[in-house]
Amino acid sequence: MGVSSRGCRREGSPRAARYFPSLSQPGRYGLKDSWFMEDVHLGAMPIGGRSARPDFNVKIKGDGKDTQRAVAILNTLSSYGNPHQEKELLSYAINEIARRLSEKGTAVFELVKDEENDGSILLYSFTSERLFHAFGKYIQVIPKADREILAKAYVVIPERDIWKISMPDILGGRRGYRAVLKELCRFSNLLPSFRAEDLSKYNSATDFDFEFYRRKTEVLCAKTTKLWGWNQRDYSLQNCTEFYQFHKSLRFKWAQAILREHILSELNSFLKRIGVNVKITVKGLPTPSEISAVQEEMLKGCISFGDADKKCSVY
Amino acid sequence: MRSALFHVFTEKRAFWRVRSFSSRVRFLYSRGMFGVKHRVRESGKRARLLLVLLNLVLWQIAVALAVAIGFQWTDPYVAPRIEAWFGFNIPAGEEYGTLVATIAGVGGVFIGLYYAAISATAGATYARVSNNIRDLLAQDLVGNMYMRCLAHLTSLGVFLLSFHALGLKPVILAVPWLLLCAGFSIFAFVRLGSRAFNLFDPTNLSEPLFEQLRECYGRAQSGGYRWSDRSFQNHSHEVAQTAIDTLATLSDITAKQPHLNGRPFADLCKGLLAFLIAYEKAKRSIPTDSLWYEKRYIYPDWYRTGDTQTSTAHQTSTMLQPQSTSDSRWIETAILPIVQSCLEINIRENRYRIVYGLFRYIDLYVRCLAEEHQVEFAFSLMRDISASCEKFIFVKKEGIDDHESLEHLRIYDRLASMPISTLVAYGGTVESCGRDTIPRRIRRIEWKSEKSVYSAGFPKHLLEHLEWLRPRIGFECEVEGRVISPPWYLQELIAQAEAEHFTTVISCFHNEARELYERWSETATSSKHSWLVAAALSREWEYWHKVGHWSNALIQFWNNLNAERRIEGLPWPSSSTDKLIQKKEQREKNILKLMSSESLLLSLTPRPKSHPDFAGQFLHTVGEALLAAMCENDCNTVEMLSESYFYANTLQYERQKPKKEGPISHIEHDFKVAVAPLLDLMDISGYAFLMSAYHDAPQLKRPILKEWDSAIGQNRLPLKFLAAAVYFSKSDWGAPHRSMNRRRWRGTIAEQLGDIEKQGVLAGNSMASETVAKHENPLVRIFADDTNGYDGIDIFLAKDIRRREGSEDLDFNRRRDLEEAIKREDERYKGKQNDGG
Repeated sequence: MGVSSRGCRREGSPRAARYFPSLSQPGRYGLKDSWFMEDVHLGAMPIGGRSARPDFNVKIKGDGKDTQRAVAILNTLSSYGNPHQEKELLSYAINEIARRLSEKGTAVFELVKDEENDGSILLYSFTSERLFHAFGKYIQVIPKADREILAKAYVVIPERDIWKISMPDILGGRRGYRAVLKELCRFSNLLPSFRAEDLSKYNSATDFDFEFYRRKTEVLCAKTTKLWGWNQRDYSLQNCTEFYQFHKSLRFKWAQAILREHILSELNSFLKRIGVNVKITVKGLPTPSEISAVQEEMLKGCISFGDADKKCSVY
Repeated sequence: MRSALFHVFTEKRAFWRVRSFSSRVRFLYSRGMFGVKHRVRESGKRARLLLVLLNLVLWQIAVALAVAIGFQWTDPYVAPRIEAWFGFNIPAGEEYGTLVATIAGVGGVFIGLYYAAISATAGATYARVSNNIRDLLAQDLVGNMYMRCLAHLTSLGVFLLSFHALGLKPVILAVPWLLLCAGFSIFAFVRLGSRAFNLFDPTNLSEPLFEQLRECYGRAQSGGYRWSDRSFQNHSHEVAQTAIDTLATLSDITAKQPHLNGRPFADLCKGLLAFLIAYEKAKRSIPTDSLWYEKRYIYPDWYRTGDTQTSTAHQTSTMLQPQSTSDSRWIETAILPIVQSCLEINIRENRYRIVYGLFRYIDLYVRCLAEEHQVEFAFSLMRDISASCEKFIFVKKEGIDDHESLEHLRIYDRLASMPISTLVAYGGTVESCGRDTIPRRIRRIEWKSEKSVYSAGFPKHLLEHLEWLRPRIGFECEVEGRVISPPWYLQELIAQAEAEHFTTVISCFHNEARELYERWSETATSSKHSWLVAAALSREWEYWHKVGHWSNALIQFWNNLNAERRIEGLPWPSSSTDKLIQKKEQREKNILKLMSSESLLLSLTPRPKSHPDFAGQFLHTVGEALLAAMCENDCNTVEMLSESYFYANTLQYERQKPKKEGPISHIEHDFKVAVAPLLDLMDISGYAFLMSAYHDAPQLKRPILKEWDSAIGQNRLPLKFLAAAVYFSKSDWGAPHRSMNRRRWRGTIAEQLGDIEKQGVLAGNSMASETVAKHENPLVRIFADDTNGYDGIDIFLAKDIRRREGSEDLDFNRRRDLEEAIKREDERYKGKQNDGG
């Protein structure tokens, strides 16, 4: 086994295990953390590149061959995108990277050369679980339960065959993000387990104070996701004013804008690393600083809810 | 970390048990503390009462003591002489025992006598009453305290005697103490003995009930002891409910006894109303969902309820769960019928002084309600009070009642003035609310504090909205560490709630008030009480006038609420002040119509001096309205009012015309006063000509001319008589009667004609310039110059009287003929036109 001078694998098949069946049992995610993961990646870019913003535009600047290579790479990230529509292609690609990021706070791709076609590079996404980095290599340790199915105990991949992207530091980085998921998972159940058991036995006499529990849980969840401004999919105004709810939605959009810009920046760096001399730019979508300015205007009451929403929405 | 700990703990059943246990312990501790505080407070009250009673009897004790000391002091000097003169030998050995025994005996006798007196009272008055009333007697604080003193004195005496019998030495220090106590007991007994007679009136026992109610709602107010604890709220409610039930029983007993249902019952009702006034203000600081308020359950509509609830109810074969609401008027609902009952009894028994006194308190309560923005409830109370009074006042008469009871008139007037009190009180309240009132109050709120929203000064109707906001803002504080929702947003939410409420209030002021007054007028009309109709109309006229006065303050308040609206889509009520002003104008026209007919009716009946002169007031008001309608070219109003105004003026003359007896100077003076209405009529008729020419609207003068033609043609108002009336109006001595009023009308007309465009022209023989009004009609041009010196009577004489057959020889006493001036003005104007042309 060896790698090309460009850092891609010579053979057309990936080495890393995409996922570990033994670790992917149903129920490993709670309700709130799975909702959070979904919400984080949906809307990083307009779905399918469809946006009502008139100045929304995507450009891949570079010479013809490099542009084709970049498009091919993006195409491996996009299951649905039309390779001839740059907006659509990049939107799907960024949303896909965001989806991978949202699962564990980090997304790992193996670089694979497509021998069957023109030898272009493909990105193969795989799980970041049990992946260690040492001495310029990435080592994926396969769980015992999966070694028989996957027919290997570990995989060693050179650093140059891997593209790894993590949550931006301003959003807590990988560790911070995983901590958020962990906290949310804790409070995903509507009731503590003993109370759920009681209810299943029709035992209503209890010292349990549901209202206190609900209120505390919601406060703790909101505090956990304070940086993101996630609203826990609660639009009921049971806990907050309409203004605060809207304020949080703007903050969530701000976080998504940070995430989008981070992915784009990392993608450009990655393309440069593998010798694809292109620069991908996105224009016409609200930037984090623009969203912050709108938030300030909202606090001062200088802008209406409708106008603020229009200014900050990617759709 | 904190959330991890919370998660670990809340997953354990033991955590919830410990939490529940600790809250139970907290409750038991609070309950214990509550009891201790209550007892301490009661002891304090008793101590205060003891001091009061001591204060009352202190002077008498001091005198008795001084006499005793005097005897003691003079004893060494006087005793030997008495012994020498009279031969008395005063024993010394058994004195102590006798004294103590006597004092103890006195104590025992007083105990027996006091209970005998109380038993006699209870037997006579409280034999057939429920236990709660008898309990009041047993709980009488003053009596109980006195009995404790007596018990102390008697038992102390018994103990001292026992000790002396056992061979112990007499206690010298006990003697002054026993003397003091005995003195106090004797003089206090005299006071309490006379007080025992008051106990025959059970309403005297109501004060502890009021005290209990005040304590209860005080505990329910924010900052009261455990005010937010549901158990304590419920306890306060229960205690208050018992007190109210006792009050209701007490009022029943009082109402049934003829010797009690007058002033004692009224005093009780005044106490109730004073309590309600204080309670209404206290409601600002009682949480709207407090269990202090009675809970009512409202069942939802099945087809308006969400699927989850209906599905659950169907699957479990149960009903939809009712929604619980607070009845914030539960105390008023129980108390106000007592007041109504008292009113009814006293009106029925013709105890009018008592009724007036009650009305004064009701009026105060209505004002208080308006100040607290509870205008809807104030009108509802007025309706109820009105219903209570109407039964006795509107007894149907066979004919027009010439002698309406003055007392009924006064009661009715008080009733009809209540909407005015409400309007003025509410107007004053909103006037004091500036643009920055809501922001200033919001700034005072500490959102983390549970009780802060109740002390910020917001009225009760906004509490619900503040209570909605508080946990939400608290959530922001918990999550973010600070308040995120900006002040402008909170201010607008509160302003919107205030605007909604304001719309309801304004609706009350134009709909409820109108309906009330209409009902009063109609009921009085149908039962043929013309004086009461007039009283209602007079007050209604005043009401709408005050609406006009306060409308600026109301509009300003509305504009303040509407200023700086920033939240899109927030449902905002439409402006209601415009509607109020429209309704006011419509209703005023109707009132004028009613006034003009009522003025005629009352002019036909003699007026007792004790009754207000509604006929005169209405005639004057209609005259003013007629002139205003002429100025505004309002032909319909002129048509509507002219006929009755004409006849009412002539009737007014008939009522005032001088009797033929008496000195001629008196007759002449009386005649001058009596013809004032006719002069008014001629003045207004003259202005009808003028305004008709000004607006080019002949309809303005037709109705009144028709009446003149008829009256002069039928010789009801002969020309000579009219000329005499005019003749006397130009008196050499003093201004004619009502001439100031007519001069004001002249001013109104001049102001109206001041709008006519004027052009400068050269004066006849000089180079000086003068201005001429640009109007085709010479009469208008003459009156546009406010220095012309003519008035409406001159116009009427020139345009009507002087043109009639037989007027050639009439003498109008130095009144210049306006017709000649008109001709001159016409020629001059034509000349100028020709010069200019």
